Amino acid sequence: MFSPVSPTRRQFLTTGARALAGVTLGARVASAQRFARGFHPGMAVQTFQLPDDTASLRMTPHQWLVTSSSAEQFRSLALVAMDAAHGAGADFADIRIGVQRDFSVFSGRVAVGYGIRARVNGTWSFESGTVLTPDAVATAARTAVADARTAAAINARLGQPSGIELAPAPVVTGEWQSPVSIDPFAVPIDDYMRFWQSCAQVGDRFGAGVQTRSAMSWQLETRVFASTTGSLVTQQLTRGGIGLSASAVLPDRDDNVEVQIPGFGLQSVGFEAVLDPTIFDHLAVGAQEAIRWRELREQTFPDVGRYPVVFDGATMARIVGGTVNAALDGDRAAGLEADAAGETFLTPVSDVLRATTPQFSPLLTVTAGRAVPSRVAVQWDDDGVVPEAYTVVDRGHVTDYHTTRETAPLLAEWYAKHNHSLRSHGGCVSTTPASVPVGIAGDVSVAPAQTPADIDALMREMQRGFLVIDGYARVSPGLTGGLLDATLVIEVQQGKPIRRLRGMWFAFNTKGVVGKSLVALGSKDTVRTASIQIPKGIPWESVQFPVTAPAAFCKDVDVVHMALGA
Amino acid sequence: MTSPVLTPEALRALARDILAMTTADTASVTVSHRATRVTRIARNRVQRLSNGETLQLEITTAFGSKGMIALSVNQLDPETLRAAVAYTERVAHESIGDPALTRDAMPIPPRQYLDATCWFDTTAAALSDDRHDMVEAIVQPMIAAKLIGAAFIGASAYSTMYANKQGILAAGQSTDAELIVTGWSRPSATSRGSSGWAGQAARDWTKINPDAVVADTIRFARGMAEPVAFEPGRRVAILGRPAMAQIVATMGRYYDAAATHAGETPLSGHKLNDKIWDERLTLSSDPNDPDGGYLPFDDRGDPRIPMTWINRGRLENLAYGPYTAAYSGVTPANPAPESVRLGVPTNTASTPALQTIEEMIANCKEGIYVNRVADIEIIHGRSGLLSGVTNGGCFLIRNGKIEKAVKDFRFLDSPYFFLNRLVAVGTSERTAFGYAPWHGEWPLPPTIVPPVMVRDFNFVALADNV
Repeated sequence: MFSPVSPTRRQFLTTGARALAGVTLGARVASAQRFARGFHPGMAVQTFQLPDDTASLRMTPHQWLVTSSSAEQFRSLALVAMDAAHGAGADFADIRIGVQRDFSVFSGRVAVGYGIRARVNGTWSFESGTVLTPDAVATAARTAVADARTAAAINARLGQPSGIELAPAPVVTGEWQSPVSIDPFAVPIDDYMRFWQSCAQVGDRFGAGVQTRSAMSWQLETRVFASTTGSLVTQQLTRGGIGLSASAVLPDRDDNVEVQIPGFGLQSVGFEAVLDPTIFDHLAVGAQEAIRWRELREQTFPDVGRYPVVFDGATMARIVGGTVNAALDGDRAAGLEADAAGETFLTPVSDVLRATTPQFSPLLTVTAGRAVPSRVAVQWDDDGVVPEAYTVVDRGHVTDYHTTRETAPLLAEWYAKHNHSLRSHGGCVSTTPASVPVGIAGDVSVAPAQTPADIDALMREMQRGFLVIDGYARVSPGLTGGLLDATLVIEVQQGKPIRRLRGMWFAFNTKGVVGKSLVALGSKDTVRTASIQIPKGIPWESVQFPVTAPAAFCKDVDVVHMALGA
Repeated sequence: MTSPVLTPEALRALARDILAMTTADTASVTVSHRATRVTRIARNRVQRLSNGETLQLEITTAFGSKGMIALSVNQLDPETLRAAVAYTERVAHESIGDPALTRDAMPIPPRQYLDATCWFDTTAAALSDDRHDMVEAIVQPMIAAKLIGAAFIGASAYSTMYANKQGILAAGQSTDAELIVTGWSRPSATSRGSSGWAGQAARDWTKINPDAVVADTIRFARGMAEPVAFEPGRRVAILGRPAMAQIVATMGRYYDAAATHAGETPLSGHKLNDKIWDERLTLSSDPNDPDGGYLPFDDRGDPRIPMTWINRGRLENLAYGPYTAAYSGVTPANPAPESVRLGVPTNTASTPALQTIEEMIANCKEGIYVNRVADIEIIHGRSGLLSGVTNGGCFLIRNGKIEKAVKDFRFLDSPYFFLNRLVAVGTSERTAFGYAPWHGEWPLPPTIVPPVMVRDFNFVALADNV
């Protein structure tokens, strides 16, 4: 059960006031790694004024975002659909059915729906809908089976063999909910607005042109999964959180230096995230950092060439998330994305796994999973599989791929050789209950260096190079390289930040930046999390997942001109 | 035939019912309803046959300057709708005021919408078609050509409506069909492998010709065997329609007058009748374009009418929505286009001679032929500078012939620059996009483009590296 709201709100108001009073201004000298920020980029920052009478907004999102559907109704409909699919002759079928409610103060969304997969002779079909009646879901299930049979018949006529068998998965039953302390949908809207106002007030204390902001959004989802093998599980998933940023307006033009505050972001978390007493301290430090960067001289950088670069953790997370991680996507390796997102250079799977020389730098170890408090945490994935933690890259060697029940059989031989049972890692996800399930990586982590190495230390040996903060990687379709620009690029000489640069673009080669060029990784205190979004399929749907990485020192990165006339 | 989506009549009735429920001073209802049927082929077999339906109804209410509270639901039962209206009203009542939010309360001129044919029963019928014949027409030739085939066959029916308490009520339906075929051979010890891409898109399913698409895919895949790295740089480029569609799809937004006057588009600083690009080219949009019209209203119910934006290379119009037009004293009002046609002027005696791609190649001493580009990103809106990578066929031309396949490039250029370096232009056709999330949601609005041959196109690097 969720905690009652009222004591929590009182606690928040007290905590918030205390934290605001405790903000220390101007006394901190931030070290370079504090500037290396990482935070989910997709959260829009909005500002609202607190109404005169805050008591008038006592409504909670629960009261606002109503739904007449219940978990019991979803379970009942799921069983009706699975009975219909079984009766229609499916070799296998499953259903995801439920409701998603999204809340970001002055906008909301309630969406119910279901998606049914049916399989006949190794060929899938999918049917989705929004009408929640026994007749509707049963009809959809029978249609899905008929379509799967049609598709299987076409494959038979084409002389194409049956598809690969699904990886085995035990029958699962039960209920689970994200372990949040305070249901964010039970908190009155004026508490959210009060928090907003408190965050903005931190920036006011630093003078004109300095702003501190917060953004909040939450999703509450009830999702039921059932299959014709007898699985029936119900999950209540709460995802959301706050984003914090600070900015300082540049004196000479209509632009600003913005700093994202690390350590916050979307997770499986409730309103307790707002009660973190360090929030206002973090905002104050962020404001100081924005001011410090603003005071550095800003120039354009005229020279192209190859330079050493330190990427902060957020930038490294986006590089690894868009390259190595995407290349290890089982859907790509199986050719399921060949008409859409593309294939992977890490194929054929058996050759890659057997390779004796590492594909990447020996410094690189990458793991994945879907454990709490990750925003992608679930007890059962959308295949009905309990996710597990696993290693995909071990000191540069590819050891595994991100898999679902459909793609795990690609690794059957490898698992057998290593005495691992054949199973999915639990990476199956439907972005909504009515979406086609696809494979994702889950929560990806790049292991930091074990020996202390902050960003100052990584820059220390740099004669002339760059520190890249909050960089965004655009990865080419083949995943073999890409372009990168950043919120902040700092020129470093003799290990010291010298000036802020604008209009800087970097070109990177995947096997270089996480291979031969990777000289050192930062330690744990440089680790940042970035949100990666990868559209899959046609019609494409974006799957999002977090990637966490330490800062990295790469010795050879190309600076390129991205302006005409070069 | 039963419509797979809500009909305009049903949408109008829904709008009237919802607006009758609210006591708010201003209120609007937006509905979008889409049904799709998709066949995806992977490794020469049907991977999945999918039927999807999405429905979104958004209600927004305000009392005076208070509110503009939006709630989105996807259930149409009276209980849900009444609850949604009640909750938006309740929060709107209590919210703070913002005079900027009173647009919908302003007096509005009468709305008149063109008739536009965007709906084809043939496409709606394809939502229940088993596609046996089309799949076989795709896969059999791929197997015969010893290629690994992947394909997307999609049909979509869509209906949408915008209504508000001030009297705007716009509703319409459209259909879309797209076929994309990719074929490739794997790299081996003796081969670097190859791949080809081709596609077609239309409002009318019957205009999709799988035989032609597959033949093009096989032609490109065979041509792309053994691609070699070739030095990037500024070169003559022949950009096929799939390449041009990806580039031109970024253009419509630039005609927005407010953004242009704010200095944010390549047209900023230009006056009407200024020369923007080569005088052989015209950019226009028309809800009744026979190659790909579009609904004659935007998502605020503002009417869209036929417009010419660039006429024979010169800036002829900017896009003013009704309110901006009224404020600026500009007529006619017209929101920024969703869909554009790039082509040659057809209503004058000076229509230029059109060339086929084969003729462009024959007239090229040295250059690069690019079938398609991908990963489009606007680098600098003020200049229209964008970047992307060639993807789906890239060839070196020497002495009027394709000499060999070359590895993909990253490019960096602006159509507002390179269309001033035009050498030749071909006929315009609606063109498929395939996987293109950088442009929005599938299906993308019709984009009608010609192939072009231009000088000094800026290939900046090998795509393998960037």
